[in-house]
Amino acid sequence: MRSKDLKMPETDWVLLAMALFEATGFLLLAFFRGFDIVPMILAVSMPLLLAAQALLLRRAYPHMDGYILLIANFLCGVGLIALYRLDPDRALKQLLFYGLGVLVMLAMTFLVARGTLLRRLRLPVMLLSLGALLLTLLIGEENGGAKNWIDLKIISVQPSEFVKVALVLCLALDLSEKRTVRQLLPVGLFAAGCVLLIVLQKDLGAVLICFLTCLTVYYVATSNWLLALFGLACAAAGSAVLYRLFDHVRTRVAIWQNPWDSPQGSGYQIIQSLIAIASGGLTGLGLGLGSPDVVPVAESDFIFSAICEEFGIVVGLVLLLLYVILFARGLLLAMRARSSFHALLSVGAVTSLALQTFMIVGGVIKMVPLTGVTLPFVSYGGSSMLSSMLMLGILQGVSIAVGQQDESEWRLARAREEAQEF
Amino acid sequence: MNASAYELLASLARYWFIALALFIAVRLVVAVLREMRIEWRVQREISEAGTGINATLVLLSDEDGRLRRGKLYPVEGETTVGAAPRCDVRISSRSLRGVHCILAMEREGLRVVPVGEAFVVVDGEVVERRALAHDGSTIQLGGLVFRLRLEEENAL
Amino acid sequence: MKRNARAVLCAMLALFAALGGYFFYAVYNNGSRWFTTPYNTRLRQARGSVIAGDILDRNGTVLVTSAADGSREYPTSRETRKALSHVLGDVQGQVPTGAESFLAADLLGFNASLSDRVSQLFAEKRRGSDVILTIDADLQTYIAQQFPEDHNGAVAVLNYKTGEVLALYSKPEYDAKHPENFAGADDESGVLLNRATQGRYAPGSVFKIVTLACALENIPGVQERTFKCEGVYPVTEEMDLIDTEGEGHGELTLEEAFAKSCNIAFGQLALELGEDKLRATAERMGFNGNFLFEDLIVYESIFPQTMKDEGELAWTGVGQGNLMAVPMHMALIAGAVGNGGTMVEPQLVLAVRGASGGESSRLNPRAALQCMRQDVAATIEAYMIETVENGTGTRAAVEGHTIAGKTGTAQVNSSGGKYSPHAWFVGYCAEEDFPYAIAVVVENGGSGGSTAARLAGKVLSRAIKNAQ
Repeated sequence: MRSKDLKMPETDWVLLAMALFEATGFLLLAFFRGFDIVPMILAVSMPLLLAAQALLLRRAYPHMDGYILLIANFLCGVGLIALYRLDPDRALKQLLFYGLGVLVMLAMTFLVARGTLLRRLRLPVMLLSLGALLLTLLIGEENGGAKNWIDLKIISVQPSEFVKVALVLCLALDLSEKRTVRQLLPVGLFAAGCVLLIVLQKDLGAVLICFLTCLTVYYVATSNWLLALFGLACAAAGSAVLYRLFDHVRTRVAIWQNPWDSPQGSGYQIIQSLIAIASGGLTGLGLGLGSPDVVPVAESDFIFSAICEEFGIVVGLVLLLLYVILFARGLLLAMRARSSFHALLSVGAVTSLALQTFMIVGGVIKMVPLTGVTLPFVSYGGSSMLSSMLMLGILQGVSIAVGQQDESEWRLARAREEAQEF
Repeated sequence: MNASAYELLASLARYWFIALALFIAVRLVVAVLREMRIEWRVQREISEAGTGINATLVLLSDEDGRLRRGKLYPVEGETTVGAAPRCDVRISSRSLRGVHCILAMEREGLRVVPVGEAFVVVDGEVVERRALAHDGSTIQLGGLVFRLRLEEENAL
Repeated sequence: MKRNARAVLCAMLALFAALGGYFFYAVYNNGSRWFTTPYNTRLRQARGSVIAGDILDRNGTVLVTSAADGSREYPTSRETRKALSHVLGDVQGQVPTGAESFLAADLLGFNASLSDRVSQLFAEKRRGSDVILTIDADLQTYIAQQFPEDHNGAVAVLNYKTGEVLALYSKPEYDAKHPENFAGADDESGVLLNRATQGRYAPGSVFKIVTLACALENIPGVQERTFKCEGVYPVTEEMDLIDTEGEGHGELTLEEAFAKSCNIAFGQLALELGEDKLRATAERMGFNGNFLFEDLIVYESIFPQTMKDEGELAWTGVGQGNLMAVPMHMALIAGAVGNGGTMVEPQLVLAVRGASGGESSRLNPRAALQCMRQDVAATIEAYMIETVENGTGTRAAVEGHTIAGKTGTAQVNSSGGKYSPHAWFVGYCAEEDFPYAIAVVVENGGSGGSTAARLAGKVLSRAIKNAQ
């Protein structure tokens, strides 16, 4: 075995297929609703962006995880195609955030790979998160029953998206070294504070994600399944209380149980989503031939049903598989990590992303009650895109750290073996 | 381009999309599985060859006098030491806390991190946050005193 | 920590496997129903831009076609149009499982093949596919003519070997050409309800087929038994089992008890078998199960989940109590007897003809349920033939053909004698060449042996004639 074996097997064909997929999608859109030059440009630039990242970044940083990189960028590309078909203006905005997201991802990657700076950032990050959440409560704007937006004149921000990233970072930092109750008090308070503030914002999707992420990271760090189970029980009790307390939680559950009760009223969204998916069937109606705009908020919460309608269930299932591969890579990374800090980081990032994906996809197909969260990388929304990219950056940073360690240790082992053979 | 021509194109394109998606899925799954095998082989080779240094704690004395002197406790990678069953190195002694400390092999030596208020002394100094121990260092955990032995593995 | 991460990995994989599995399962099971709901604006939009295809019957008679402006036209006579009202349904989807809405994906060209799309590349308005139904319009019109006036009810006729549905008649009818007359009709009148597939009736004595099957499978030597019928049989203190005749049949073999539809004998069998065995047999035949077939939906027949006492059990054994049966389902059960115990899946679409003329068969005969053992089916067949030859069902006989059947007279409500009972007949032609099964319900039609059996005989003989 030579050191070449440490590198990824070739993924060029996959890269080519992904590039072709994106190019075809945008090319079609160029002729949809009359000729349009913008998608023509995108048809060339998007695959180039994908290829540039996959080839250049991997060359510069051989320990980055190529699969995760490819999959996340491809998902962004598919999301942009679906968005452009729904609403070109929003798609262009999203394109901006995608570009910004790539930069943010790189920054996060180095932050995590270096590690030392992160420890110093812990306190500021905590305070900033809590402050942003508090601010949202005070001057936030309501949107679909949840008060989770801050309007900053130029752009609106959804702080709860970024708090997820902060939670993952702080949990991993503290849980990797500290074990006693008193040592864990600050991070515990921080997590509880975040969850509570998001509960007050009535952003239940984010609450669930944050809470379950905390529990998972705590369990992985301490193996204390008793307390984790207790936490789960608390979550169940808490949901029951929330169910009693909040009207819109009750409605959501009622809609989930039987949306056909009021197909024109509260059940409208979910029913239209189901109809859209069913209309597409296995192969889809063809890009631009369906009417995904019938489903309300098709561009963010219901983008998965919009994709299923026009691309078909097969493509929808493939997208789900891509998510699974991404998450599995992240968790395998955690299993290879030497230090618990890195392991916890990637477990946290994966858990948060996976829960979010599960909740929204399960929601639009009526498997679980709908919670208004976005589909990572695909849905429209700047905050969501940036926070997904930050999570991606965490995974890449861990990948670099683990890869470097692997390689140096492996080299040492080889050298030792060769020395022995003499 | 008229509407029905676009319709035909789009309805043709969906098969192309499906073909590409399936291709991507299959290739990725195959590649990831192969990758996983490689990674595991590397891990195995590393662990078989060892990190180069074997760390062992040798028990010097025990307050209660219940444990045998000279008993060996190997340390691998990141290790938790304590009285609780979930610790990697479990020592049943009343002077140890459930999880007493975390030991981690680093290039410069063995990092010792006490958990909470656990009583840890390295080379005569009480450790508050973390300390580095070297070959021959004495490490006291609660009422137990150890000597750290770092040996080059497979030394010629 | 490594182990915990692996646990998280496994949990994640399981979660997403469940997600994907549920996704596929839900769409596979409910996809067509979701698609055809009246809330699907795609269909409404498509109706504006696509000329819907024709609906034809099995003999090529055009039942519905599209005018140049896209509106629907009915080239057949008024009588045929009305007879077929529930089969065809309406464009608005008020009749939920009518062909117009349930097969809209084909009619509006959502499933069109590539060659169809190419051929219409330059057409001004696209055309959907034509759908050829398994229905025999002539037979259905004949049923409408022969159905007793002043009575509502339903008739279902199907080929019990291939599953082709030949007729699916429900009365009251409506006239699709004049939707203003029934639009907004309240649920009470039930004009829009297809009684053949969605009407739930107490089955009465036709349920004795199920009780008989259960007895034959569970009680060895039951065929050699004799029963004594004195007209009344006390089950509990409050509840007696009463025979329709009132005076009793005297000594009976099992076969005679079936042919003469003796309540006492079958009530006793039900008591002997017990609730669980009877329920198991009924559920094996499709009671309490959803029939979401590809071409049509048959509502579930109901066998009660719990029973009050022995009295209810005895009455259930003879088809009363809280039992509910759907006519189409009973026709399927009768057909299963004729088919050696295998119930076929009913099919409504014979073929689909694309806009470019290519016809593709949709008929796909397959088993829906394995209801009973073959020898049990053979015994029941013999008993049912005896019923038509010498028992209560003699009026269903068709000259020169072997008909098997069972009559039923279902009490509508036990308390008042205000309503006369529903008349039932289920049966089939026990011949290789004419494998037709039928179920007839005449609401408040009195005794099943007279009205329902007579109608069934006529319909079967017409079906046989049409096939020759």
